[in-house]
Amino acid sequence: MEKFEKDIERLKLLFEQKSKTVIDKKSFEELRNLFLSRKKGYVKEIFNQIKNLPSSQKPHAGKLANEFKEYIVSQLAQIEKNLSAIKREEEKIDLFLPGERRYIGSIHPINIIQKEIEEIFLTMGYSIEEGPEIETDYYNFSALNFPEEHPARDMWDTLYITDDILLRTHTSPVQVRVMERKKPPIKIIVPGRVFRKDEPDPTHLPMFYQVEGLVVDEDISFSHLKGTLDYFLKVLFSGRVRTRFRPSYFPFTEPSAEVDISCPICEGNKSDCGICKGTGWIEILGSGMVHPQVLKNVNIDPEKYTGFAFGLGIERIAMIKYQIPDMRLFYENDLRFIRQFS
Amino acid sequence: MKVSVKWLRELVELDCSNEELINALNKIGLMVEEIVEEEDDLILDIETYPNRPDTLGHIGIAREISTYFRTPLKELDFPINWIEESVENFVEITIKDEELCPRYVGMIVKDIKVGESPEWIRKRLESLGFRSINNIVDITNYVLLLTGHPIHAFDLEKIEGRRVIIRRAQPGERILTLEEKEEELSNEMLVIADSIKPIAIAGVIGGEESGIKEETRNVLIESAYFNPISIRKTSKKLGLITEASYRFERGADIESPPRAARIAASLLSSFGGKVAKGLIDNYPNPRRQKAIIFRMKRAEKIIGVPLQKEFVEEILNYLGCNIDKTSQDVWQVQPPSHRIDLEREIDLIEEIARFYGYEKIPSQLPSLRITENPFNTKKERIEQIRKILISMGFDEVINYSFTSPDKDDFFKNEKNPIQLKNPISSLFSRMRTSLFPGLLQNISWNLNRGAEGISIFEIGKIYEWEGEKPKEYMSLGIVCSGLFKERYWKEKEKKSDFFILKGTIESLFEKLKLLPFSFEYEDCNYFENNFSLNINVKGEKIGYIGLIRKEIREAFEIEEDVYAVEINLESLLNKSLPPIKFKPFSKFPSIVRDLSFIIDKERSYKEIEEEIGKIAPSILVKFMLYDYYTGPPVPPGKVSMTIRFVYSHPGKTLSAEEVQVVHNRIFEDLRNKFGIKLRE
Repeated sequence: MEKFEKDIERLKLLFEQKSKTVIDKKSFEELRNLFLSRKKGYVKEIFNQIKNLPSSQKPHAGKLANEFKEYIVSQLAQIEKNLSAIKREEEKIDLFLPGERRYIGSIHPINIIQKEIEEIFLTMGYSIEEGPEIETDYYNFSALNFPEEHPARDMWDTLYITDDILLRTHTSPVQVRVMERKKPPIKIIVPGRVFRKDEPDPTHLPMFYQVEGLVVDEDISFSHLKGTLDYFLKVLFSGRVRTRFRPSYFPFTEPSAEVDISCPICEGNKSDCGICKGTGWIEILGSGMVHPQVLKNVNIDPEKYTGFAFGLGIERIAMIKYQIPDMRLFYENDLRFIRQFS
Repeated sequence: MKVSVKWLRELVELDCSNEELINALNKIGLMVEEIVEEEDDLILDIETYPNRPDTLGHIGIAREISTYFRTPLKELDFPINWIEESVENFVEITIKDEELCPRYVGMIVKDIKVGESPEWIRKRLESLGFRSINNIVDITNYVLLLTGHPIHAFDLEKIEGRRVIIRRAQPGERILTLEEKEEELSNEMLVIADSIKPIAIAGVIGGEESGIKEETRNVLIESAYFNPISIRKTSKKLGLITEASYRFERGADIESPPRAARIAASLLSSFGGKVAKGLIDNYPNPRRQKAIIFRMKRAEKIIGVPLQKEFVEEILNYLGCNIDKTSQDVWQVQPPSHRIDLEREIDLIEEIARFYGYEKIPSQLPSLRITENPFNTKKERIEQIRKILISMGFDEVINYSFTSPDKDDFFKNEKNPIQLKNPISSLFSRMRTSLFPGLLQNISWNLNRGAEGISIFEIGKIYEWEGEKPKEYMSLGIVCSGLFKERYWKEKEKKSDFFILKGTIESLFEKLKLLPFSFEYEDCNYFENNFSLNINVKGEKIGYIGLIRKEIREAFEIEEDVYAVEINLESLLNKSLPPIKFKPFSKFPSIVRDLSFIIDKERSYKEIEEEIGKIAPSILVKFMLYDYYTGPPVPPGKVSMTIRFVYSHPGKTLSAEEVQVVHNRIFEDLRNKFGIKLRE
């Protein structure tokens, strides 16, 4: 029995020595055969010794032999695992080679910003309306309380198709079209193209995008207009801006207000800021309480209902958000421009 | 409107700094857009509005400031050097058209020596953007800048018959104006005439002949009120906007003429002029300002804040309104004549809000009343199209709605295009009838700036006349040219071709569930012959796809082939979609069988597709073109195709024999129909 135990110890030692010489598949196989070969492996030899021992010692010897076998099997498994790692190392490919990218196109920045604006208002329960780009004088001007032959009509230069048919100068005609169709409560925004007779230059274009908003309900006040636009502008500019409301004039709203935001780029700290021109404020939006005459024109009782409306230019928002210096870039459609915004 | 701060301080008692003054102006909506510092003055450029002609003079601005600070305007004294002789002895004034000229005031100043104005007047005028001409003309401009009311000075000796007649011009009458331009007048224009001829175009510009010259001694001061619409029409027709017409067309203060004339007479007195006694005031139908009903409650409701009666009363008083408070909460408010914009209650409410201060009105959100389903399905589907196309590697562009007719003509087909009456230039003179002119321009722009390839799309409206009515509808245009996919180290580069574009729209329709769709050969005048298909979705023709004609792309200076498709989105978006319903799929493995054969080149894949569709064995789940080859060893006039068939059964594992039977049947059928031969 003593010899039996010693043999096991000796073979363990031998295994440890031999295992150090394993460097590849071949030497590994040799080691495995030496110990685990079914006919003449050392493990088999140990098991063979058991039958020569006295029967009282057999159970203990059997246990030792099994433990020995388990030890060898598990050690071999470990060695094999290490060996394959070495092998991977030898056949390593350069994983830093560029991956196969799929080209994903870009959405035009105007549509990115338009979508952002739409989503803010959708969460506030507004619906999205659209209207024709080719309008009549009535919807573009008269119904919006522009007096006939009044200089207020010169606030924007208009592109005409006939004396009466024109390219809408703002999205406000859609206010009228919607109110003709629906009765309050009305909560809508109207995104769309508008046109002016302006030569393209860094801050003017003959065509650009606006988003118009209109809310008509009982008990809507100027205070609600302020709250709504404050909220909208804070979300749009990620909370980084303050707002300033200044009295202004639009024929279809009264009281009217122009809304400025504090410059999100320089916050009023740079006298040569390209965005706010050093004033710290950027004019961004026109707004006001819907003029009672406009409500009357669409048969909504201005004594019962009040409302507010606002409009803003999408290019202008994009120019501020992305710090784009020249408005003409939007319609040159240079891919080096389009692809920058996502 | 340029304003002198020094002058303002002469008109209103102010103890605020210039900075506070500018701040105040901004707060009440008189935005200071530019500040120029002068030696002893500050010149502000103030934004004014078309409804506020009263702010086109220093008194008007001063009145606003006085209301803001609640400090009164200063009393101004304009002493006059009268002579005994009455004004009526010098001139006779007759209004022939009361509608166009409701009021005309004339004064006579005698024995005045024309010369240079004193330094202070010259300086004041020049810093406010006026050229100094001579003392008399300068005085008229000075009065204009002070009161906002335009006045005119005539050389009395040049008024034939000393008769002033305000009448419409007779057809064919002409006048040489102070700008030394001869204008032809027409009957809707109002003129100031003497007994023979027009001597001024009323409210717009004076005549050269009756103007103030060095030898002028006696002057007729004209201070009138002209109909704004008439002035605007005349000014537009003549293409002539003057300081006078700008103010009259916005509406002058009808009560202002006597005062403006007196101020002018007073200033001319100070240069030695003698003023004939009295003034001629032709005002046949004096206007009565209507009172406005003002309800405190309504003001509070609109502004959204509680208001103090004392505050409201004070503001309205400072603005020059008279208030009848017989009733506690409902006032009768009589606005001053210079505030022609105050016509309704809402106009007064705006004034209250303005002086209350917009910044003090609290911000609150209105309660969320449910209106309706806020989702706009048409917009959402457009959004979906946009996302699918960018995911397939196309960039989005946006082009102007107008284009140049010569480029648009390539694509207009039978459409009757819409022309602009007053375009910016001929390049922007037609509403596009197709998205292609813009898209081809984008290709040209980018390829000529170093891009190797371009794949873009646009979603936007195109326009045409439909009878008398302009029609506009949403269109989708997709184009690709040059390199489609860059070279990758594992793969060769890929050039744009027809099938990339066709596959793009096929994937698009599939994803949008716009099924079934199909194509037919149809020639189209902007695509190469035999290189265009029409596109049908659910049986309706909605567009064309093809290779742009060489001459056309060359007109856009594009050297590469351009593949293009345009789809009428309006009819596509109006198609109803079946609700999506789950379909169970087989749990059992499917079996794949290929069929490689040779077929006549004349046969189109569409025929094979349709034939297999006709057989449609129940276990065939799908089939696709796996390989397509022409050239040796395939004999000329033939092509080699491999079609892969996928078979599956919903309820069991198919045996090889079962599949073979069906597969053979398809083969037999194709052989009988098209004479296909199996390939090894």
